[in-house]
Amino acid sequence: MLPTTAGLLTMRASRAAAPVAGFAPSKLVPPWLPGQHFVAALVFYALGAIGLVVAAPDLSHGYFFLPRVIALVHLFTLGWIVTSIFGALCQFLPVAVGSSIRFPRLVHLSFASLTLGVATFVVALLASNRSLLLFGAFSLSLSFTVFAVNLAATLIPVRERSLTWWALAGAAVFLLATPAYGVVLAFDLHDGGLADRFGTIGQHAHIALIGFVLMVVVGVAHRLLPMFLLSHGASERAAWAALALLFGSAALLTVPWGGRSRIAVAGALGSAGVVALLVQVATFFKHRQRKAIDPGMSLAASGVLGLGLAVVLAPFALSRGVADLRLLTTYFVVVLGALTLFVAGHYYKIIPFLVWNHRYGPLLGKRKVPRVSELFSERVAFLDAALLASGLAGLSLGILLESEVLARVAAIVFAAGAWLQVIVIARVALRKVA
Amino acid sequence: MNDIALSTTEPIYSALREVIDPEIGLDIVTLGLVYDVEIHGDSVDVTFSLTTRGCPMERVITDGIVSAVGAEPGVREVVPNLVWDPPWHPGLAKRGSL
Ligand code: HEM
Repeated sequence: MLPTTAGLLTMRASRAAAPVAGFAPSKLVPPWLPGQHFVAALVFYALGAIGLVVAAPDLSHGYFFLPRVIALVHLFTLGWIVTSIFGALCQFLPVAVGSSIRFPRLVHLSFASLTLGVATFVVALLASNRSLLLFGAFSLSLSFTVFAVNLAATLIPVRERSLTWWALAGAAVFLLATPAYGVVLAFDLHDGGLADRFGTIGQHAHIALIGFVLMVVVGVAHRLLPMFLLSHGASERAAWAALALLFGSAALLTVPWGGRSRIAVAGALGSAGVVALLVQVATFFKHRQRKAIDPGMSLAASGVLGLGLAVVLAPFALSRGVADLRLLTTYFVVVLGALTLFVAGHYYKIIPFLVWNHRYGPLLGKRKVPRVSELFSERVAFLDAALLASGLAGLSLGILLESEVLARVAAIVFAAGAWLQVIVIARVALRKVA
Repeated sequence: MNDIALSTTEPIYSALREVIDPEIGLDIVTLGLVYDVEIHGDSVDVTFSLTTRGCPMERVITDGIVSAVGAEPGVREVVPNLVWDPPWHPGLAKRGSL
């Protein structure tokens, strides 16, 4: 064998490497840019899991509006889901839209204000501290605004406007609308004065969930699922329908006029949008060429099924509102649990991939390298998926049945799954090349 | 430098079998990602694609191709040629491999 010493072997520029119209060759972002988000999100996830065990009895009685429950909700929504999404977008924008994040330095600002905001917001709610709460709300708003501007600046120059592009553009719009309602609610929490507190909370939560989180899910799933499942060429009609319906729903929720009929139409559009998303994901799974489903994809699939269950619960839970607090709490636990599973599933895909790329990528073609899935035990990951999904299912049942014991045991099962996942992911990240 | 003349593409294909798609776990030849190999004296052109446009593996796989093929006796230059047309689809993979 000839040693490939420098100067002996040369590589000419690829002749066909000229960019395809509207599609720049992908630039890799430094791994610590998404990496710092993932570390912070995993810390919030682990803390949230403990918080869930502590708050399980509150949840089982439907005490959804207690400050400590609001704190827990935001540990999951902001700390786990939004922080993970920001990190994942930094990593996957080149795959998703063919362009890296426009201002990588601004990502440090959005990350710092997000983590600082989550920490202060949660502590303020637990300590009932008005100034800290407002500081947290403003810090979060700064983070959302900076990230939305950075995302928009990344998207605008891209010429090939795919479904993923439109989904992320829509998400950027509602990323700006979410904190507007959040800050109003933060003021109201201590000072009061809001005419319809519960209606406003419903709007705030659904603008964030439908307008930002689900829009990102539609856009990213449309790009990543065919790649992970090898379901190239599957019809994308349902994803376009999901995108239009979810956008319409979130837009109706955001405008301040129109009364109850507006909310009813927004609810119908949102539900139809989730159904369309379900159909799209089912289409990808049906057309997959990789028959075996790995732990990451099975967690993501259970998350999407959970969203389907949420659509069934939504009309009952939201029409009865505070008149049936346990049903309302069950609904929110199902929605947030479903998104938690979806995100958790992607950690089993993204982190091992990043670690592989960093550690083993340079060795490819030079020596035998492991597969990404060989960086962790698949059996342990499946066990983890079972703990997470069964814990959330048990918790929802515990709330419906008003059983403190069932809710607490189920929360412990979920927490065991969350901690197991954090340990597995940390071991993957710290793995040395053998 | 080793002056063994390259006469057939077979050793090049077998070198390319050392380059895997780490996510799928199969090598790029079995996956049907290698569209063509051409030998011009001591220079080898490898025309290949990736499973997804904008794939984050682009650089790693390109470098892997250069390393694997470059280690073959008689190869002095490797020209990796990434193309998107025709687009890759799972039907191009070796039957029953996925
Ligand atoms: C700038 C960011 C945000 C701020 C400042 C904020 C602020 C708030 C406040 C103050 C409340 C409590 C209202 C009350 O009980 O009177 C609340 C409730 C809620 N928020 Fe947020 N929020 C933010 C982002 C989000 C996001 C991104 C989501 C979902 C993805 C979300 C989901 C919810 C939910 C589900 C509730 C109801 C929680 C409960 O009552 O236990 N929030 N938010």
